[in-house]
Order: sequence, then C-alpha cells, then structure tokens
Amino acid sequence: MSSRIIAAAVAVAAGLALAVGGAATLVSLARPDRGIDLQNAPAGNGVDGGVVDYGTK
Amino acid sequence: MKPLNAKVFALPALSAALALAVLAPVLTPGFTLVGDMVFSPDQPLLPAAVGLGTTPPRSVPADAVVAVLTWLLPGDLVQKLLLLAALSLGAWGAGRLAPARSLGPRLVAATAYGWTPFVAERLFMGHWPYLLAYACLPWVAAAGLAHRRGEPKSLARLVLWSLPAALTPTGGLLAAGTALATAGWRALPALALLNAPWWVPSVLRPGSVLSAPEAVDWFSARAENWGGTVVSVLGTGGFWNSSVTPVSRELPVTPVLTLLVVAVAAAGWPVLVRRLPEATRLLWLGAAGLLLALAAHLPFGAAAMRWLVSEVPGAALLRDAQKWVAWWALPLALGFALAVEAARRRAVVAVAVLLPLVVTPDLAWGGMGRLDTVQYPADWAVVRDVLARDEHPGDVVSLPLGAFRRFGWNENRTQLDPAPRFLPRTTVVDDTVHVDGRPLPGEDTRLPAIREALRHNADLGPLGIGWVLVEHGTPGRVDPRTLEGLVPVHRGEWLDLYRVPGRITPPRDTGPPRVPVLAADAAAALFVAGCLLWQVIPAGRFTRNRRRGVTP
Repeated sequence: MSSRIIAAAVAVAAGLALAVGGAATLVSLARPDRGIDLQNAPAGNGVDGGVVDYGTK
Repeated sequence: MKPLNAKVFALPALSAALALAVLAPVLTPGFTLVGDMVFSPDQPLLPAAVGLGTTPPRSVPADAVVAVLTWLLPGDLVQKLLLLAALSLGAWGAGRLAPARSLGPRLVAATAYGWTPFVAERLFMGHWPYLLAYACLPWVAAAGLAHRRGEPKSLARLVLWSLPAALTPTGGLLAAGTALATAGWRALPALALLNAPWWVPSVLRPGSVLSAPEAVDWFSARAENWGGTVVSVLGTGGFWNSSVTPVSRELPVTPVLTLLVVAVAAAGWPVLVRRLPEATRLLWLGAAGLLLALAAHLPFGAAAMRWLVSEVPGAALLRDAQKWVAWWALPLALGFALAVEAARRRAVVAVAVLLPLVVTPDLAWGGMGRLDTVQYPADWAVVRDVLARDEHPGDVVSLPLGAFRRFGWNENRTQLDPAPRFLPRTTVVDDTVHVDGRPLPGEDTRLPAIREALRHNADLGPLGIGWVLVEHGTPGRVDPRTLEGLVPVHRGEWLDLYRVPGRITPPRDTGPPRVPVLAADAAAALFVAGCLLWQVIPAGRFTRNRRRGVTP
C-alpha cells in the first residue's frame, strides 16, 4: 500500500516538475539578449559615483 | 578481457554527466568570474593567503592552495577542475552512501543531492569552496560512520575527505559537523588540527571579528515563493540574495513540489535508520541545519542572532545562515532514494532520477547562460609585470573603493575585485559590502586610515601604500585630486597604475603574529601528509596485529 502511495507521490511530483521545469526553461530562454544589456553598461569612473551591490534581498 | 560492469560505472558516470550538464559553458578557455569567485592566471602566494593579512581569514587556506596549484597548472584550468570536483563528487558520494539494494535508488540519491537549489544558488553566487565542502559531506559521513565502526585507517580517510572542505572556515565547519555527528567527539582533535590554518589566525588577529547586527536580517534566509521561508529552506533554497535565485524557485507550483519531495523522503527515513542505524545522527544534523538556517525567523531568533554576531567574536560566520541547509540536503536525498526504492517500480525510479533536473532546469548549461568564461584584458598582465619587476616598495590600493566590480569585459556581472588575487603584491580593497545600496562596514583593520588619507588627499606612503591601481569601466568614483600627486606608470583602457612618490614605510597595522600562524599551517600540512602516508602504507594491519599480540 505504502509503495503505491510513494509511486503516486512521485508521479504527481513528476507532473508538477514538468510544469515547473517547462515554465522555468521558457522564462530563462525568453530573457533579454545580453547584447542589449551591454548598451546599458555602467558609466566610467568619475561619471557615476555609485557602488556595486553584493546582492539584493 | 572482462566486459565493463555498467553497474560499477553508472554512478560516477551519472555524477560526471550532472557536472558537465552544468559546467559545459564554463569549460571553454578563460575564467568564470562571478560573485565571490575569482581566479587568476598565476595567483600569488601572499601573506594574507596563509592567514597573515589584516582581513579575517575567510579564504584561508583556499587562496594558498589555489596559489600553489596555479604554479603547476594554468589558473583557468585549476578553476575548471575545482568546479568539476565540486559538482560531481557530491552526487557520487550520496549515491555510494545510500544503503540501497540496487543501483536505481543510488542514482536517485545522486541526482537528489547533486542537483539542488543549494547547488544552483551557491554556484551562481560564486561560492565554490562551499560547493566543494557540500560535495565532500557524503564522503565525510561515510568515513565518519566507518570510524565509528572501528574500521582501520578510517580516521585518516575522514581527515582527507574533510580537507577540501576545510579550505574555508564555513566549509571546515560544515565538514566538522558531519564528521562529529557520524564519528563522534573522538574525531575532534584531528578536525581541530586540520582546520588550524583558519581558526588560529582568527583567534590571534588583533581586533575582534564582529559584525553589524543588521547584517543578520540582510543575510538571513528568504522566501523564494508563496510557500514562505520555511518551505524554501526545506527545498534547500532560500539563499538571501534574490539576484541569484533560479526562476524555477519562484514559480507557484514549487512549494507544493517541495512538500511532496519532503513527504516522500520522510517515508524513506525509517528504512534508512533500519539499514544504517547510525544515520539517525545524520537526521539530527539535518534538523540542526534547518534550525540554524531558519534561526533568524524563529521567535527571539533574530534578536539572539543580532546579539551573537555583534558581541561574540567569530559569530559573524552565522550571518549567512542558509548555508547550514547543506546538512539537511543529505538526509533528504537518502530518504527520498530509499522511499523510491520501496515503490519497487522501475518507471518510478527512472522518474525520480530525473525529477531534480526537471524541477530546476535552470541550473543546466551554466544556469542558462549566467556563467560563462572571459579573458582578462591585457592591462591586467601589464600591471602585474610592472609590480613584479619594479623595485619601488609598498602595497597597492585599489580604486574606486569597493569590494565588488561590474566590468564591461565581464558582461557587467557582479564580481569580487580580482586585484588581490591577480597582482603580486598585497592589494588593499575597501571590503565594505553593499546590500540593496546599504553599506555593511568592512573588517580590514588597515582600511580606515587609508580611506581617511584618500579623503584628505594625504600621503599614502606612511601607510605602506606604494602604488595606486584605478580600475575603469566599473561603477564608483575616483577623486581626480587623489591622483594629482602620483606618478603615472601605466595608462590603459581598463587599468591605470600610479606610483606613490616619496618614502614608503611598512604598514603599522599588521595581521596576527607570524610564528603561531605559520606553525599552525605547518602542523596542518604535516598532519595531512601523515594521513596520506597512513592511507598508503600498511600501517593499519600493523596496528591490528599488535593489538592481537602478534609480532609483525
């Protein structure tokens, strides 16, 4: 009985995983071209007094 | 000639395939520079690399080991080998550790441990030493369990598998926790000696390593989706920095999936404990990891953590709390694998092997393009050669002040300033860290005086600074008056190098005392060499014979 429950859980997880994975892949692949990002490169020294964030919460 | 046994090679082959699926874009010539991960063609062996710097020894002895490795191999090759080891050994070790009766569940354990949100987020943040430590944990656990059973040479094996983890304080503690949980407290002296290269300079460093209390909130685990922080951490995610979170972690289905996987794993834990009774200790360690990772979100937890990091020297290690979830990942993977085995269906096993890859597909291919290789601009080699050949004394200060850079030549990725690991002299950088634009004070005891001198355009020579490096094409301002009295030596597109005129005196602020730190390094190195010898020579048999009273 327990083996059936685990099999069912794994099957459900697989279905959900396909949904997650498919969506994540689509979103990742649909990201803007990095070449366009380069047009927004940071300004040189003396022009922008900003700092580089270690990260964003 | 005997045919190859597919079952023997399946586990290492799968582990290697997982690593290649992630690292394929990183294996081309060049360096991967992202977050805290900096490698250089020929990393110098400087005092800070062995714990004699004025900053806390966060990358000790990792910097020394990488420096020695780059004497033997090109720096980019060293980086690739370390990353391949970090991303393949964990899966292999988890598969070997799983007390399964067939190959299938071992493969399930391999992917469940080797392909996780923890691996993705730490890789994208450039935390390669943490990943190396994570990869060693199943092997440390196996050696620890063997030591508990009294197997010969198991203590040496435990030390040697803890060695890659002990390249940094965090990795050393992750491995030590696993080793103590499995082998017991009798392994403590060996672990203390192995980790001496970082804890001895930490203890002897003038000025305590304390942290601003608000750092606890900035670096605590975060909710990646509607499931909240607890569910994010249960899924081995929840890293504080949202900019490295894979897209797959933010989708609405992810919390449901996480809870399903945890429920299946929980069904496998009784089997795990039945077959491997000592594994109870791994379960407790996993629970402790979860508790630490979530400490800042528990009642009074945040207040306690704030007090700890701001009052207790060294407790700043607890700030980035999500890292302790590494202890949770192992029992999660083992339980999941054994529960799948109980299902006794090949299709279920096959699906379970692939499940982690499908859940987090955006770890593949260098995080779908997040990681790539670049070459340092030629300016860097020119500046390095000048500093190596010129007899003008003094250390280097890197401008603009700030620990992190975003260079156009590295596609504007946030990366640690490479100067301290590229240039052949001690390079001082402002180790103030900014999170969401808010500054967290740095810990380099030399920096306050240098910052003041720069602010008032004062002479840097009395502070031991003989050179000023200006990095271009990255945010940050350099006051033109700072450079007025300096002698330009190199002007390039990406780097300018200036000589500080006048007398350069040795810096007043120094690191910890040399003799005990170098003694700790030597003792740890000799201990590791001894463990290697112990593994090679038949000393274990000698010991057994002596116990039985037999003359060898």
